[in-house]
Amino acid sequence: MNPFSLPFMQTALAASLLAGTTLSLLGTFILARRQVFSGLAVSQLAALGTVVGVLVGLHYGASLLALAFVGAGMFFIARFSKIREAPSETWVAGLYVLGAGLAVMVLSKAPRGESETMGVFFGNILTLTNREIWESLVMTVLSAGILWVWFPRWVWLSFDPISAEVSGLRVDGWNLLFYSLFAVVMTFSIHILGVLLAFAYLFLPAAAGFLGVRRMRTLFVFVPSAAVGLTVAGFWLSFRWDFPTGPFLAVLMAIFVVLMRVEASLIRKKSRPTAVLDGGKEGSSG
Amino acid sequence: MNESAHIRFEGADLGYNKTAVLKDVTCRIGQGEVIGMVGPNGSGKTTFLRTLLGLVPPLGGTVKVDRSRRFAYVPQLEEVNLFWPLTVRETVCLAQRSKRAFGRVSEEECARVDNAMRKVGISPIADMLFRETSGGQRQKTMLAQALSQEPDVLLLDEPTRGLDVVAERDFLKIVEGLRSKKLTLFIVSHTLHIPLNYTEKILLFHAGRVVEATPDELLSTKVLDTIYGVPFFHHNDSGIRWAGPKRGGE
Repeated sequence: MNPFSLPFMQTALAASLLAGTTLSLLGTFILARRQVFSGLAVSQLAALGTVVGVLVGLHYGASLLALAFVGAGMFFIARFSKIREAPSETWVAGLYVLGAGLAVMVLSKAPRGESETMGVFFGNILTLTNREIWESLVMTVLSAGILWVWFPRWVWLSFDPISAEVSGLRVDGWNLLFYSLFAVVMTFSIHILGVLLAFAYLFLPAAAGFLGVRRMRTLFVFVPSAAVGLTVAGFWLSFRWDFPTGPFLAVLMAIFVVLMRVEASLIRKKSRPTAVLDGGKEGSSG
Repeated sequence: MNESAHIRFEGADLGYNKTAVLKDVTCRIGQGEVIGMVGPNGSGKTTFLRTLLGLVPPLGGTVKVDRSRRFAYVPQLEEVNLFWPLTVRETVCLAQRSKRAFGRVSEEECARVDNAMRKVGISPIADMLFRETSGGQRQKTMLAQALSQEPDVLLLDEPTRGLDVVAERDFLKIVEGLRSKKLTLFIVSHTLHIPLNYTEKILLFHAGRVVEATPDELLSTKVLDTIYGVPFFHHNDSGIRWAGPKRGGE
């Protein structure tokens, strides 16, 4: 049986492809800025907001609540990261623990606590509806548009922000735009995919790209293509082998990163030049 | 006093969050001057630069900087993110391509990039990955990026840090070639022979103060001993000036 002929699979696949592609593109910039841990903390805050919202019977309200939690968390990180007595990771870790712990505590009071916990943290993408497809589409168009229009600017801001600022770029303003976009995308993605899968999409295709790609253009073709390819393969295989689709996809992406790492080190080994001091063999054939 | 100064600090207190790092700073810098900035870590060099760039407001006094001038900055290499698989040419182009939506650049801007790359001698490695080049090549690439913006004021922050002696010599040769009536150059360096031999005015940062001196004044007095708190040797060999801390016990 072809799993993609089933309507619920089609809906889940479409929403995952859109949200996954968006997250992978944004994740490339977050990874380049070395803010993986912040991404994880933000995911937990979005989950907490969603949980609280769902518990009090909100739907879009839950997403707005999650967005407010994420915004507050990012403000907290930005503010407290400037304190020199402790590394900025201290505050990020604190927020992560607070968000995850509180979410579980709140869920324990929910009528269907355990199943809702599973839904928020590990996702239940096979229950998605057309509404989530539209949410994902808006998110994709918005993010891809903003990243595409000012692409070199986003790269410069993460490559060398001080030079960018000296040359007249308003770094704080552009960072505010970037992180606002990140907050919106993460909030809706957690709602659609769950914490685990959203986090996997955010960093794993990008990590594979940084490991295996040696040109900027190729990187930004490879990363969303990997997200798409792994999503389709993950849906197909999880259906065939009867595994939960979200966690299966996350594991598949992690395996893909490991394979890219192995491939990258093999290529590096092959192309490593012989040292001149190592018997002077380099170029001796000529 | 330099009457044609386009950068003026008059009795300025500089710092962050109402805490002054530098007090009563007075100096004037004119177009085309080459300024060395010398002082121990934490003496306020970065605070001075950030105020000069308008990134931090002065806490008191007057800071007048002609903001119509173009500023460019060559960072310390540790500040640059090496994750992106950018080629050398793409790295130089970033500043130009960041100006407008969709990264559009005019032919004139492309020519500026080519000129800057030629000037610092990195055209042959244009297609190499920036992260796979040597320290000297990276520093030249960052200099080309700054020059492609045709700045009026160029700030070099520890430009030879981490470079081997040959790369340092090559880089300083290029910097020397940049001297012109138009370009004001600031060089921050802990390697004293750079401000002593490549600049004409030195700003000394010590104990919350900034003092102006010429390279010769720096050598003929005990000012370095005072600033760094250890005895220094001074040496002027056929016009090449050297200074450094004496070995222990000397």
